[in-house]
Amino acid sequence: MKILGLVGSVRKLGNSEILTKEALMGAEAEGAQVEILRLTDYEVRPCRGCAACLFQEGGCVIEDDANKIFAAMGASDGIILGVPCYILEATAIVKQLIDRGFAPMQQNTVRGKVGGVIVPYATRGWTQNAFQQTNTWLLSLGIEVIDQLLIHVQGISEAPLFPRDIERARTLGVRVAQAIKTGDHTYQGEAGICPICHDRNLRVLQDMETVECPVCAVRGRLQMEGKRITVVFSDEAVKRHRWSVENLQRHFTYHLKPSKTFFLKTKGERKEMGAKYKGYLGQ
Amino acid sequence: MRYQVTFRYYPGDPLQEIREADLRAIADQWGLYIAFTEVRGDVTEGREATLDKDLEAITQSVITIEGDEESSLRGGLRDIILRYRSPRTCYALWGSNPEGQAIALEIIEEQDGWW
Repeated sequence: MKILGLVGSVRKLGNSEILTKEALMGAEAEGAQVEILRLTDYEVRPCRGCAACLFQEGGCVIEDDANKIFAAMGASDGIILGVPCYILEATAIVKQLIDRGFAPMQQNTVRGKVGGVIVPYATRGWTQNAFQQTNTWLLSLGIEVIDQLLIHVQGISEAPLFPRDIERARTLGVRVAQAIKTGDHTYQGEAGICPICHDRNLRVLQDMETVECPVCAVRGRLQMEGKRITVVFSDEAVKRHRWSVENLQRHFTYHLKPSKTFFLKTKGERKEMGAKYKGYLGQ
Repeated sequence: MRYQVTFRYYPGDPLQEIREADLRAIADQWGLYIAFTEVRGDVTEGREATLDKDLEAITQSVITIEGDEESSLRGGLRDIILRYRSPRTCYALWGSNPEGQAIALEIIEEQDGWW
């Protein structure tokens, strides 16, 4: 059983790294072989939207370290991601890897792994989107996130000052290892709203009747029970969630690949209409 | 002015089954001509190769809406989108005439722009 820790912080031995290491120690105690990568030590260039992974149905053609990171994830049974939340969201390296994940998403090279997420943050009230990026990344790759933690800690390396948080990080590592061993991938983290990603964010759609998880696209309705808001999701709506292997396959098959034909059909028109932008402002 | 709009829904796009009877009711209500065609592409073992295939040949449900009155067209398009949601892709209106497409894009944005 191999568990890979991924750290999305530039700070060496910062809180993300310490908490990830603590989780890995917990996993190791359960018999896991553990490894850690600090994502920001690797060269990960932006996706250039060339669509080669889509239209050539192969891997990403950019020759940097992103493919190495995805390969390491694919070679592991579990992933523990520790990433700080500075301003509302995860750090940029996570978004960079989300966009570079098109090839492993299509090829399902990471699908079925067990995941855990740890997000250290500094100020209460500044974390609303902290799990949106981490969930988008891991769920899009087909990783089953079974636990996630938001840990209140600020200065560099101060996490060990809070034994409860250290213990909780260790428990996350234990849970990931146990989920791999038992095959039971049931979510064990704090209960949220979305039945897929367990985050608490909802969008209110334009009909002013429907709400939707912005990450998983599961749609539901709000109901009042006394003063309490409840969100009701039908089984049908849950099954339609964005990240199911069936839905992703449909997305690539019907929403993305046919765009090549459309591109070729409209090539002449676009060339003619785009001419006035060529060279404008020297670009 | 004759408006023609083609909505191409790919598998998983409509929120409920598209039924001819429902479309007929919309057509009658708004005085439109509405046709419905199911296209079955080349599916092998549950997978369909859609790369380099004609946009018209891959699996899809095609609703064609035609009419002479702009206000009727708008009403019919709204009802279709409210029932099924709007088509999802940039090429989902392929086959529409320019007049119809301009109105359809307005209604899609109005009903489904931020959905």
